[in-house]
Amino acid sequence: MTMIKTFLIDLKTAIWYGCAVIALLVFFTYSAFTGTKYFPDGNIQKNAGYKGVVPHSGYGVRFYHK
Amino acid sequence: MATVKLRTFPEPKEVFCPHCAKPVTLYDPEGSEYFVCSSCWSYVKYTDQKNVQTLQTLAPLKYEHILDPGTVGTLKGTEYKVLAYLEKKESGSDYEWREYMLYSYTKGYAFLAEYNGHWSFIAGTEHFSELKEAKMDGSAAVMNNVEYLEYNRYVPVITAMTGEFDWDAYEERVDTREFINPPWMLVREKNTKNVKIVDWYLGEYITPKEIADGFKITTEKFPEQFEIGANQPNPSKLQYQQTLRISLAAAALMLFIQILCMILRPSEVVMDQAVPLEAPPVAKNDTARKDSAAATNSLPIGTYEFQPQKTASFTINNGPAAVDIHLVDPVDNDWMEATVELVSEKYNQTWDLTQEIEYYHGYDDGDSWSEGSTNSTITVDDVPEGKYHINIYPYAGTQYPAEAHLTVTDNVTLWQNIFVTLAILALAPLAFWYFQRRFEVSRWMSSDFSPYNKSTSNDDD
Repeated sequence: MTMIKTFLIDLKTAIWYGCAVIALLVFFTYSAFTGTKYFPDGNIQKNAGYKGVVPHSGYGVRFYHK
Repeated sequence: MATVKLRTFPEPKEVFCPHCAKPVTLYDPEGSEYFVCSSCWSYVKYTDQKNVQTLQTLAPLKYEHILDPGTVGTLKGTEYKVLAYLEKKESGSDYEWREYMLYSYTKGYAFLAEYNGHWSFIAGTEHFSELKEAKMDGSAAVMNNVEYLEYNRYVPVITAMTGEFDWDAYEERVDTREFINPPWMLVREKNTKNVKIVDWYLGEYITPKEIADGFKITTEKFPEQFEIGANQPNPSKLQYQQTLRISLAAAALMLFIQILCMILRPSEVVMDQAVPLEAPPVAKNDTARKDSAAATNSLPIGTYEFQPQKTASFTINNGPAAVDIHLVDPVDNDWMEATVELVSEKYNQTWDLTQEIEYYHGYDDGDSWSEGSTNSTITVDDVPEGKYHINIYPYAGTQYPAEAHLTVTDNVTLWQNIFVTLAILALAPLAFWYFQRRFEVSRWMSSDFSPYNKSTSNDDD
């Protein structure tokens, strides 16, 4: 109880900021356990419908199956 | 001396001004020895009804006051009666403030001081016994191991007053030094006639509402507040301290969660394979390997293309997971790029990305230099568990790279998330730190002893 009283010196701030921080920690935990980046790499393209190795690649092979 | 240790306020007594003969009510007739006639502003020494002597005539009051002598109210759990109202100024300057002298029948005198609409409740050792521990420590004052920084020093002069006193208030001269640790203020008064007499007082910032509630009046007639009070609480300081505590606790919890995640979902190298960089099949009429740009007419000049490779299958466990694809090629003053395709054999999904490696070095004017590196890592996030392989389509600036090396690691730590979370957690404390500092800088702008202006002289007396 004493520890809580020592920790909580401004109840109003503790409530609104505590809620915001809890939400952030929940989001962090979800991301950590699902291997999800906050900001996904925009240069990585996820595609459905794999068609196999392109026999002749060429410089423009990137995203060839689009 | 003010009459104390009573059970109630003393019975008021009416005396007559020796100058204008108008009646004056004394609210502590046994304790008071001086009074001011509010009709003719005579300053009178009063011993008893027979010994009444006019000392001088004072200036009339300049400002409207909110509490008349005789008004009763309760502040901080103690009942007070207003005995006097004083208007003061700093000797040698135009700074003016107002004080109300309060009388408690158990504790004696206390004061309400108002400057720029900011109020302090100030009292001596009868109210605050810890004042006996107050002492100077260099240019600061210390009480109960708490430091109070010097804010102001001056000689107060009474310009006008009304009410009654147990000492010759009008003639008293003291050197005053104020030390602050908001909402508290330590006041040190040294008598100029007898320098051995040093009195300490403790002041606490008090809001107009507290005073109005205590004396059951409205705040309408209270002077308007402007600037920042010397001991006014910093509204952002508590917010700064609270957000800092929560952020530090959250950072510790976040690291704990991350460590737990690393224990429950350990990182593992699931594929580690050399990728041979072989020239593509040569057309029949070609006699030597040539720049594939010439053959396809689509590659930039100086770009050599190698045969696409498919790696062995590997399994990603504990998905969805973040996966590191690490490509190494010992290029030397050269570059190498590869389109990498992570293929889910279960869902027929792909993640396409390009990895670039370039490493150049040399000597310039006797100094060695280098830029780039021989490896590249890209993290693919949110990859479901299952069986995968990688297709890689390499090309380079020369035909010499012989082999690249590809490594896939699952359940890697997402440092980006950690740093972004820490940065977000730092935002609120930093913002409130800035606000509270700006408040303090503004507060100390009114002082000659600002810790934010180190060039200020802090000479001791």
